[in-house]
Amino acid sequence: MNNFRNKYRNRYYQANVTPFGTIQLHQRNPVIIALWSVAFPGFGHFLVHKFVTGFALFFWEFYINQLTQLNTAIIYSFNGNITQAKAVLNEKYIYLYIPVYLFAIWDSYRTTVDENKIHLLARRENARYPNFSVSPFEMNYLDKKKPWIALIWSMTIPSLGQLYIHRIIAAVLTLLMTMFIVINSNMIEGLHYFLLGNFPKSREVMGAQWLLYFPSIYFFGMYDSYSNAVELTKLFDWEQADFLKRNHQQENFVLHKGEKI
Amino acid sequence: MDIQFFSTFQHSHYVELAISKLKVNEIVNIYAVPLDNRSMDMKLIDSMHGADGTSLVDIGLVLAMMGGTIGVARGFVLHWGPVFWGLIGAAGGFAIGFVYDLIKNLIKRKKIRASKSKLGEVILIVQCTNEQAEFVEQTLWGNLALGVAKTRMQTAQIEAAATDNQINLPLLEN
Repeated sequence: MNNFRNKYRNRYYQANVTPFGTIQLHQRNPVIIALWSVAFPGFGHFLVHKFVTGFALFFWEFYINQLTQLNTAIIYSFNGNITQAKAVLNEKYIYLYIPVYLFAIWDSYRTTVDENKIHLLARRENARYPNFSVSPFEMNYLDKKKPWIALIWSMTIPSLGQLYIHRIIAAVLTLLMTMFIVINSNMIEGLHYFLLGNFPKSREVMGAQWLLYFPSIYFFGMYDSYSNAVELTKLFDWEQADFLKRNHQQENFVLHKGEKI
Repeated sequence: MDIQFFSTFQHSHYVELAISKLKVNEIVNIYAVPLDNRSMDMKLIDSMHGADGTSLVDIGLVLAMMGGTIGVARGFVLHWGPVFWGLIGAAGGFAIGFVYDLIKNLIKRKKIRASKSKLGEVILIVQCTNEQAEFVEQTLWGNLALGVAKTRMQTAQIEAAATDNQINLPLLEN
């Protein structure tokens, strides 16, 4: 929209610094994005900044999974208990799962390939973009972020690493889901017995259906914060190099061959 | 007798802080040259000052997620329970992915030697008078310059000759 009001009409931007996070185009590996969609529909879309699509797919998968007790069936299947897996699955809903699951994988792959092309165009055009955002809600600016710090915070409670790199929307979703899963799966209680060495009791208290969501959310938080911290740092470097070239290379500056003191 | 400072920096807010501080203090002859040195420097672990897009965690985290899920599922039957098996699955998955990426990158970067020292990413050249020199030097060092060189400009005559040459050359060509 800004394009048509702007005196300098640009076709593509490489990035945009918004109050809720820095949106950035960069080269991504479509296979990795598709694999995150395999982990949980919606994750691939979050990684390519398609949050509304991602939310829709994410909550849809969550809802159908709860209705059909898919996670419980997965646990039975992995343990070779096929009859119980069959018994627990709700055949009324399970067929709804397949097309949307495959769509999420395919669509995130396709979007990544497209965004990679747009990114190349944007790089070549090298249009200027806002590097700073002040609003009543948030304050955001381009900065260097340490990838390992983001990773370590994400390992404590998922979402903290994303907050560190100012990915607010992804952080809110990750935090809410983490709390939901931790509470419903009795994970803390399970960890308590686990630390006391009472493994059978620990296994007993944990809710299988809920607990199986946890690994995907946990590692997604780590990946999202780490990979974006790397890209934000690169974006900062490029933006600053561009700024220096635009503003601090006056034609009348004369370089003198002087003696070093 | 004017002074020219040559300094190198890494990309950070400090470069802009240095430039703006000098400008506020009426030192306006500043020339900045950002360097392209990313591709030469292929590090295996990304740091804030050297992120080259080589990642060892891409495959690792995907496999950790998969291994963790399978581990948790198997743990509901095995003796150690879901926590232990989940952790074992995740760690195993991550290790496999990490080693895969590590080997892939080691082969890829065989020829490229990663330098240990900090790389200069921006060259900043500042021109000032003799009296301002100390302030400029302090400002540059104070804003985390990697290296600073102070050079005394040649006498006015040579300077004039140099500028004359610059102006005359294109005329001669025409």
